[in-house]
Amino acid sequence: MVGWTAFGPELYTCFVLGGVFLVFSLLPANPRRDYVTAMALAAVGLGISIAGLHLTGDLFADTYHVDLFSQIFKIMLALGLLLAIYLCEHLRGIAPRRHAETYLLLTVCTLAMMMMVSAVNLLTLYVALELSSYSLYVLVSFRQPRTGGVRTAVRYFLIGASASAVMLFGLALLYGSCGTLDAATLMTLLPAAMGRPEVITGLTLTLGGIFFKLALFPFHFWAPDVYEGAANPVAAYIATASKVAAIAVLIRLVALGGQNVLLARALAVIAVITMTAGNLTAIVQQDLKRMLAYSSIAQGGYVLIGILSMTPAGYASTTFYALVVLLLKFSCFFVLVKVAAGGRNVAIDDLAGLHSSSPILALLLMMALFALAGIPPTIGFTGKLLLFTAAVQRGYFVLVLIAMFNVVISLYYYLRVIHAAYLRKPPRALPALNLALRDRLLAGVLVTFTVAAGIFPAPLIALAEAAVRVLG
Amino acid sequence: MTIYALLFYLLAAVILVSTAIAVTRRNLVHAAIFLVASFFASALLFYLLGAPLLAMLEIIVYVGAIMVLFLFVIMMLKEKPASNRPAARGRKLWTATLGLIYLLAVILLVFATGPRGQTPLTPAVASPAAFGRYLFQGHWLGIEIASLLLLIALIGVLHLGHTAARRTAAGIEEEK
Amino acid sequence: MPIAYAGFPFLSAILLSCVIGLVTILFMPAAQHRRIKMVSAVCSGITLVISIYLFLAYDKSAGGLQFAERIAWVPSLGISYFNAADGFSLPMLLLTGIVFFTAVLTMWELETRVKEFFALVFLLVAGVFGLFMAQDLFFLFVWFDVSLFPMYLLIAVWGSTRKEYAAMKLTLYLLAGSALILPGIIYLVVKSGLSTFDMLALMQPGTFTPFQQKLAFLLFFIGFGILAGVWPLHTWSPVGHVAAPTAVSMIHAGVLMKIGAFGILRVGIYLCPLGWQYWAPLMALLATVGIVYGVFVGLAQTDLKYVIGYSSVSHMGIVGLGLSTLTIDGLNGAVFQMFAHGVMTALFFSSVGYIYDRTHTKAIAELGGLSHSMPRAASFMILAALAGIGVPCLASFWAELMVFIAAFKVYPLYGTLAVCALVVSALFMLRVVQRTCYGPPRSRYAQLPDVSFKLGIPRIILATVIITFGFFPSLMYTMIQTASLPLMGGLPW
Repeated sequence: MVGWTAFGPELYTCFVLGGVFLVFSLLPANPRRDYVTAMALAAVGLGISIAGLHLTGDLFADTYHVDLFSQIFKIMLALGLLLAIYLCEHLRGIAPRRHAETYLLLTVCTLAMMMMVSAVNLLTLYVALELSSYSLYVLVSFRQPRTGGVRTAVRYFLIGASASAVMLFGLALLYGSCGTLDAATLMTLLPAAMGRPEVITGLTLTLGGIFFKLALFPFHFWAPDVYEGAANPVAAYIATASKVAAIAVLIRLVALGGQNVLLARALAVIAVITMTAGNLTAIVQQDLKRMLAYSSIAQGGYVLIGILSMTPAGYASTTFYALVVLLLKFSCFFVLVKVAAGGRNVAIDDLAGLHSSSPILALLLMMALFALAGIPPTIGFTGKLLLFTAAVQRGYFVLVLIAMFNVVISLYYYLRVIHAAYLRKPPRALPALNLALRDRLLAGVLVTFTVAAGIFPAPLIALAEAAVRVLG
Repeated sequence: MTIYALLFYLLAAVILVSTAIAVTRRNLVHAAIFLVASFFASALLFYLLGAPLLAMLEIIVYVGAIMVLFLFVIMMLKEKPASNRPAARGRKLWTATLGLIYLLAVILLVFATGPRGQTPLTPAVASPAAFGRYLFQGHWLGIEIASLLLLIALIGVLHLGHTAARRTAAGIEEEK
Repeated sequence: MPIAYAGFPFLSAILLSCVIGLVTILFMPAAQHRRIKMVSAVCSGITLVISIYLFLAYDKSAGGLQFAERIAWVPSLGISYFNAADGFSLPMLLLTGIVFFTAVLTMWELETRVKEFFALVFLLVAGVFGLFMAQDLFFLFVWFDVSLFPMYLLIAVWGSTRKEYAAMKLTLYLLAGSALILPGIIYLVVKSGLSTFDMLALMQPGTFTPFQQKLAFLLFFIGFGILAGVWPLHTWSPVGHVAAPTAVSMIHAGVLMKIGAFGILRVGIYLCPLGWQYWAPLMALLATVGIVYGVFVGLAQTDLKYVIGYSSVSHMGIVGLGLSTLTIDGLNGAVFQMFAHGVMTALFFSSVGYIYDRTHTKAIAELGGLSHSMPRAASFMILAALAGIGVPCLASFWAELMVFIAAFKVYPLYGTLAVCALVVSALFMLRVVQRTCYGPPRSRYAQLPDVSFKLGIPRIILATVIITFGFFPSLMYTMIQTASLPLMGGLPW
């Protein structure tokens, strides 16, 4: 039964968490019951994932590989699920009788992502990727008013389906030229075969599916619409957990090709276009979620810089950065959800006076945004330092310079938000935001962690380095 | 040109034409019928490439099950044919131009590059039994995930269907 | 370079008292203004006392790095918490201590959002102190940014005249600078092949090829140069000075701009001496343009704070000119000028701030006859103006003298131009003083209170420092020489 133990976190997510909500969705709606159960079960799930940190093993006819790399990402995913569920306390953007389904879909999506990070057969990976995408399409369509939600979901689905088709075509090319979709075998075959046009095309197109998930050029158009159109906690989940999973898969796929210069150049071009487009468009946004979406796109570009260095240091830095993205984007969405009355969207101007209505949220927002901009001594700076060091080690100095200028651009729109929160007077006096003790506690923990992990990053870096060592 | 190649190009042409007709029809039933033709031709293509099982699956699943379901839904919904609103001229022009450029580029790439640019992919001939074993032994996790995917799709369809039903109901009330 | 480790971590104690001040203030009720100010005064006082002690306790005969502390921080990346002080950093630490303490006392009358103001000032100053003592590139950069980003809120919340525009411009300019510095640092660390951020290890001759030194030095020169107000990247600085509240102007012009020059010295010159040599003519040109430009644009200003802002650009140009001469005199003069200008400009801003708070105007034309209504405030301002001109027996005189001696030898044309510009500025400055402090007394200012003893303390401290180092320049000179002699002696050419 050793094999099944290694599958523990997934099994738990699938049967306990998913099963419970399948039942709940058949019972009469009871949002409070759903929320409490979901929180408790997701917290246990996080515990199980942490307990499973050092599991290893090959499962399901070697299509599934459990190692430190996958387990670390599973912990992040379980954490992402827990945090996203935490935001669902009132869940005003979704009809009460859809709440159980929402939790079910969040859970299934997390399960799919856990499988994505462990799948070493590209076919399994593809199916898991589709599962997570479809869960998100449906989640997005739950947003009220219904027509709006469905319209966004359809747009999301169309771009996702195109990306998925591109990825399938790439997989077909890879399979046709190598005769296998097993990652371990591919890893021995591909570096030598990268010169062949169909192989490199295949790998690049396969990456296209992940580009969609990470909202990288040319599959980044969906992000602002979907963030804006989805319910706030769902948007938070898309901005956090789904990015983490995409980063993991991207690392695994790029690592297949060894150190291919052609692929690295292609990725560098995509990185530059992605972050520049993301940052420049973010400047003019008025809606907070749209701005966060464009900032997510830009962050995806930075992530790519770590990956395209194709060295263990690069992969380790990207792994570290996945955690950075998870925490910081969650912090922003946490503030957004708490500020958004009735689950509506929040314009940047709506943050006016946040400083006096809730100092702790204003502080959290400021820290998160400064960290996203890579200002020390925050975790975001450490992440960027690691990414850029890895890239310079491989000689991508100009790329790093471009990235740094993008960071300065991004600072402009982050400062706009901080300006609204700290300096703008609200049009009418706002009542103090009534935050529960646990909300304030969570905000405090997030602020502390953002700074503390920036000052003492050594253990996290060591963990990330250990994780990518098993990639081989 | 061998007889195989001749057949291949013939089938490819049939697929292209029928699909093109399918996506341009305004009448949904007509479109579905042409899609059936396209699927048939694809099935033959599989057969030609040495995968009789896949050819049969294509016909049974796509032509048989899915298209019947599709037609069924179309007839159940009694959707009125979309009005003959022509698409914006500019958009049409753009699409056509881009498509043409793409087509030219592909043709150029296919015929202009020498043998070095060509990549013969080895065909894999598998008996139904071997195929089944491969699928259900090596990839049963993938199959399980796919089954979950169906569950999710079901939820999505229920949600959308609910919406559609509401809207239809609202529409009927308005008519009254 | 000899290193003497400290028995007691004095340098960390400075940082710690900043952090303690910050944390204490954060946890105090916002309404207790008086207590918050007391805490700020005590903690900043401690930093001043320690920095004075370090300045006096430094063993000049031994030289090198003293009071060193080193703890491995992230071993896998070669980052260590490594602080030490030498003859360059001690004057800067002393300057920071003085300006910080006096700035806190100057803001004694602040009533709006007191808690946040002092918390941010503590954060800013912690960064400044940290940068002056850091011997590890990672920490140096961290401190650099820590000292920059509180500026945005400090100016945007508590400032005046176009404060939001100024704050945004300043922050973006300075962070654009850091966007060049960080790649430069990473580049050097990676190219050294040593995988360490320790500056002592990277400083070894032969670590970097000439090309690498040229490239990295250019990045550092532009990156830090933005902060040092190097022409043509200075445009944020007068705007920022004018918009900032008094204490922030003091810290900003007094200390923050020095960070830029110090960064060029500590990172650029120490790590990339060949790059320094290569780019020195460009530095000299830009510095001279800065001096002349600062003077002549200053001439056209009608706002008192803009006058000081542009004179800062020109004074920082003197620092740049000193650094670009590649001589010991130039180096000594530049560092001395950093110190002298810091104290002088802090005094200037604090007197102007006092006058502005009372008269609510900074326009030169509207002021006049202040020596009648507030003689003490006027005398502080006159003293600062005299120091700015470089009158003998005040600290800046010696600094400017040394720089110009060096400049005449190396760049005769630039030296002449700079001196001529300064003569013009002296005339102009005297006219400004004459218009604001003398002339017929204006009735509307007659009732305004003069500087009280309590508010006078910070100004007296600053004035004392200016005069002390004016009469005993060797105090500072011998200190700087302990660092500049070994630096110039160890150069590769």
